[in-house]
Amino acid sequence: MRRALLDRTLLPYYLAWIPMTALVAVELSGAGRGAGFGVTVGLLFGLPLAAIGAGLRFMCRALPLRRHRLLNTLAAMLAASSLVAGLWTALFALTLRAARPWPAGPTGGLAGTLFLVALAAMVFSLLYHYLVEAAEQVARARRAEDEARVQAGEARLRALAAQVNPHFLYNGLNSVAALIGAEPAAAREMVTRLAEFFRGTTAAGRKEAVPLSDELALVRGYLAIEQVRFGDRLRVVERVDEALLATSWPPLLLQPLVENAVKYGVSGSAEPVTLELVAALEVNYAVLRLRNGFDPEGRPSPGTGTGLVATRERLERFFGPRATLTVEAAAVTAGVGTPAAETAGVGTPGAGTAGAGTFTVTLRVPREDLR
Amino acid sequence: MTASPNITALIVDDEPLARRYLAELVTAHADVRIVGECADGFAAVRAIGELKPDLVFLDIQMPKLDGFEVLELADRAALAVVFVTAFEQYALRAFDAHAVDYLLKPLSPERLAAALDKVRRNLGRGLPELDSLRRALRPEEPFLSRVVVRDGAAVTVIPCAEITCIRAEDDYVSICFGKKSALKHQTIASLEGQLDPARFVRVHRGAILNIEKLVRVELVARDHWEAVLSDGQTLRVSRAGHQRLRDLLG
Repeated sequence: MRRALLDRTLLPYYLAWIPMTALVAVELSGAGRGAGFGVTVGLLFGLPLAAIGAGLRFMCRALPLRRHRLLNTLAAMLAASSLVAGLWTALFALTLRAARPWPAGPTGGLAGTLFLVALAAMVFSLLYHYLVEAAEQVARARRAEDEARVQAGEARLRALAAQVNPHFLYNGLNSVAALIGAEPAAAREMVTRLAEFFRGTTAAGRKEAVPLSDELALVRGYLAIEQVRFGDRLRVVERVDEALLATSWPPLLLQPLVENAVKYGVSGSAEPVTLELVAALEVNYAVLRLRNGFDPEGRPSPGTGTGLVATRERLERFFGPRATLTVEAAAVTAGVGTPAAETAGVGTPGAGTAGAGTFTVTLRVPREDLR
Repeated sequence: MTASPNITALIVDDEPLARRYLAELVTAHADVRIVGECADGFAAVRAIGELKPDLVFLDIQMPKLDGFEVLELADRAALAVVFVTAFEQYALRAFDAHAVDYLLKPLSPERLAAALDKVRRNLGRGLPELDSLRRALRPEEPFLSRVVVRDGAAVTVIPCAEITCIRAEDDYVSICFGKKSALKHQTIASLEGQLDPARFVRVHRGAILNIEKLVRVELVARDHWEAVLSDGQTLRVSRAGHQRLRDLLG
């Protein structure tokens, strides 16, 4: 109640009472009653009225204006206003008369004036409350719309991430076809892994959040499939703090990053590439880090940026603005120490002149923001 | 039919399992003999030069050099090419238009047989023009991001950002990058067409410069300018070249 009467939106309402009370005071000071009388009575009559008017907000909330019963509501409001104004005027007049400062002579006129003032004040209050209510409704609708848009965006990103790259499927099936003759058991295992991976991404795409253990299982399945394809060119090192396994993350957050690492790191390099996946608790943060080697003299990788932007967006939306995604690319080319202008690769075919590059993506979430 | 092997073939793919599978499928064709397998573009260029195969099964996306760059550098006089790829349907029309055959992963024995029939019919015809095929398959990369040059067995990969200028020398172009230069067997007009016109300007008939390496342009005489480049070299600038520079620099 206290909170309702001191609501921030009521400030203009109370301010409006200052000139209104002044008007009443001036009106009452007339007819030789004196300014002192006018101000005293104006304040005693007007200020409680302000509180009563503020209280009408509850009525407005209970009886919102709806087109189909507009007249009924207005009639009820008018009746209620009259009743409140009448009761307050009567109470005021009686109290005043008992306290004897009521002026002698014909007082019916004064009571009538007070009633009209009170009625006008009540109508003003009602109008004010309905206006505020309408503005709040608009703001609420806008918030809901924003929320819906954010949710739709997240759903779209998840659906996008769940869409398995068709080349991954084609290459996986090619591996199955290759294995089926000489190593049927391995072919069977590959089929199972492919099915598990597809089932996993589809299921994850429908969820709002998944435990880290689920996401890691999906990533491991993906890497196992790619390891069959690339042989010893893809090496995986994993270091996971068990304390993080149960924490919640946006689904399919790591998967696209791992896919990128394989696409640009392993596919583009003739030498074996190590992919390092770390999930650790550092002082105040939970850290997921994905690091892969790449050949800096290989074809420049196009368009990794948009995927990272989407991942950063999803991370912040899920954990709040303190969660960060950082990217770091370090390249040491074959000619170590030579100026940048000489990084052009010169090589004898087959001689393996790759420099070493590392690409690191780090996701950092404050511990207290973990879910 | 006496199917004595008369087509020698090279398999170029960076995935060992994929190479093994293709080799296995090829054994069904008695007239085709696999003479080598390569796992990256450098190895492919060398093997094509040394083994002189009639046919190469060529992956497009590979480490070091991609399939197109391999063909650009290879001695390709009488080389038949079958691309092995996972490209989407729209790109496949580009293959059809260029009379080069392709195999999709996962590979199918029937499709391989059809491709080999086409190879047998066209053997010895040489390669079609590859530039527009490259462009059709890489719509996101309409211009070269790097230039590959071969000198005997050595392959040089020059990122376009490092090129200072390119000069025509008879049938060759001399490409300056850093403090070095490399000769490439290509006409300057053809190379100009492959480079990003927002960065490379033909300043006269025999020279292209990288706008990012341009320091200043000096007027030497009436209608005769000289471009000074970041490495101190100067290039003559013709009237048309000067106009092109002004258009680009606004």
